[in-house]
Amino acid sequence: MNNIYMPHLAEIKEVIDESPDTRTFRLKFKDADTAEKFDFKAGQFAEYSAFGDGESTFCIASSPTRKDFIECSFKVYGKVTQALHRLNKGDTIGIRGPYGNWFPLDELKGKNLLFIAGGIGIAPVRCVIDNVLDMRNDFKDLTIICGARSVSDLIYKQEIKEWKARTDIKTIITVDPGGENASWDGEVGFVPAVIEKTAPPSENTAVILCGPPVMIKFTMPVLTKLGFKDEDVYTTLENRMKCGLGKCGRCNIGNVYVCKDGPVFTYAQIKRLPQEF
Amino acid sequence: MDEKIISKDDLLKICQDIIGKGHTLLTPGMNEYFPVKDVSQINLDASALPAKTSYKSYVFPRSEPVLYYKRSKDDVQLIDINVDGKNIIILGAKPCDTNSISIMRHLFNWDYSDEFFNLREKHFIIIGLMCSHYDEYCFCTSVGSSPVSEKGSDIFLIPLDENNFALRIITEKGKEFIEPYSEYLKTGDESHSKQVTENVKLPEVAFDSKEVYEWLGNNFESPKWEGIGNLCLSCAQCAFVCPVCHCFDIVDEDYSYSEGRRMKNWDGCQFGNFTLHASGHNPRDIQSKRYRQRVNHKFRYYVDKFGEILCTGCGRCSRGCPVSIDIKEIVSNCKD
Amino acid sequence: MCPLCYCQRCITDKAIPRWIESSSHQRGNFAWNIVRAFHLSARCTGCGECDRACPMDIPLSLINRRMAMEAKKSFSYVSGRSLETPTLVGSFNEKDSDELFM
Repeated sequence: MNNIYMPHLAEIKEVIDESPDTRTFRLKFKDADTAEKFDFKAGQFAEYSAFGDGESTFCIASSPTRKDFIECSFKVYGKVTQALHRLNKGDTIGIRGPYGNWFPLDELKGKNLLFIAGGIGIAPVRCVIDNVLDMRNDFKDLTIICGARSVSDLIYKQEIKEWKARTDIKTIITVDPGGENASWDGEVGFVPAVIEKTAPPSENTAVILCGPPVMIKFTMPVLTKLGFKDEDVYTTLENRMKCGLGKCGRCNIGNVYVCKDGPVFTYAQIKRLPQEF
Repeated sequence: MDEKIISKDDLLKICQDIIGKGHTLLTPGMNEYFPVKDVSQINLDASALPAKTSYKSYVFPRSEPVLYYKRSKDDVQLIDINVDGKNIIILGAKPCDTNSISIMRHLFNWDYSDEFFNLREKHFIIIGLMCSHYDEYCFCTSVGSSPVSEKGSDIFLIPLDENNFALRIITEKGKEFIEPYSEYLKTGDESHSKQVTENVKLPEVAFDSKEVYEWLGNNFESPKWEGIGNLCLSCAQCAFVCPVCHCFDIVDEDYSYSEGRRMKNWDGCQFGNFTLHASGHNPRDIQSKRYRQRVNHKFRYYVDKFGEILCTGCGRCSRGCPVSIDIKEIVSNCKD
Repeated sequence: MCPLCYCQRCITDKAIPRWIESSSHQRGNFAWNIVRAFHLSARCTGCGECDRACPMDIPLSLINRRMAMEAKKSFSYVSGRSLETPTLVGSFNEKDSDELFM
């Protein structure tokens, strides 16, 4: 029977501790055929199972252009993420997906891109960044502005180091005031303020923005002030999901199902939704 | 339309044969549609109120495993489920119930096909029965149905007199089903049954569903929701007795350290936990938002997505509500 | 509906750990009714709201009445008789009969 609730099994090849409460799994499908066929686009999400505790939804954090493995990052919050956090290298988890829509990279070709990420919101953005870097010539100037509460909360330190080392991207990392430590060489300040200082011109630039709701709330007015149009700002929404298939009925915002019509929306689309998220 | 006449006795003979063959024959009782063991249990009363629950659970069970898992120290094994679609014949389904499966079909086949639903639904034969009685909670006529609606039925029965039914064959499936029993069928006359259906008393139309649709689109922030929210207990019985509510939860259940199963369970949008994020954030954190979701989902969102109202007007949610919230009244009030 | 259900957050809503399974199989349903019966034993005032509220007309109060009988038989306790007497479930006496324990 074609069981849409049946996950694929994957082995945890590597566990990377990004911050005290955030972890990245590097995963490889057990079935070679699945690994070959599993095709996704930047921005899509999956359902990850810890058998015995259930499934949890998060984005695929690695780039679709790097096919040897997939990566996911999660912050420990609830029952399932706690269970996932207990797993070790070599353990097996389940993956169902990919689901949802994606960042329209094909449409964005030829533009400048501004990536803005806060906290765990960097996970979906990282997928796009890596994707874009693997087709670097299709895009013009790239700017990354990435914020975290404190230096220890900053995740993807390794990736950030790699981005910083490149000359064809401008990478700005900031931590909230009070979150810096003695050896911190990045910016100090909230993301919106840093954007105001460092953002590239809005001309021919699309923004990819992910972060906690409060960051998005204060970032949008700044972007508008700098001349970015709502249609050019792409972000992702998150809601509780169980099926990921548009059936279980909990992720909808108005008549929009985040799992099917999302998770990627432009800010213009979000403004049109009922304010219930 | 192919119309026949069948006597009650002959109909019961067919039922006997169905049971004899080992098929499941469901018929409405007071509380639920139950599998008939003996034909004497069959009550083909067009004037009965709808049973307290519909036969939804036969196509979309309250709880069902979607997979089994076995864990060892460093491996996991998954065991798939095989849904054996057994023939289920539903006799005497109310028009407000016959409608339900066809409404839910859209959702379970929207992009991804839920075979758990489909394999069961495929083996359903629905024999609808005209409904001649309504109470204060019925409102099928307000959602585009009626007590004589054939929609969703494979075969439709209309009582002509105490011992005879007009039998209308609606679908190919129905035709195939009744063919072996054609010896029991007499040629019917449509004018006869039409006389019956035309004389059926219809529940008054309580609201115009198009106007409700429009109003809902413009009144997401209406203060009316707050009033309803203060009344509702969020027990979600309305979702559980509803013939078309389909929201569900997926949870894992361990039997032991090494074995367990993943269950798909009915859930309800009125529960506070339904949309609660692990972070503690809840988009529908108060009851008024949850009730707004319920009404909007039924009368607006589902219409947007699938072109049908997610309600059959059976009135079960209102009959069962412990605090007497009447959905008909609330939706009728969805106007300025 | 129950005037004696006063928990801020019901045990059925707690997921970590999951005390009562949400599936409507015997294990889930039984666990819920056992928890409720114990909570209401010697506390239920017999208002009958649970019977009235049940959409399937299950006479739930029978369970409570059975528990009240047990409380009377084993502990000579009847709920609602006196404000001074400590509640049965809320008080412990070393001399209490332990016949009820399984």
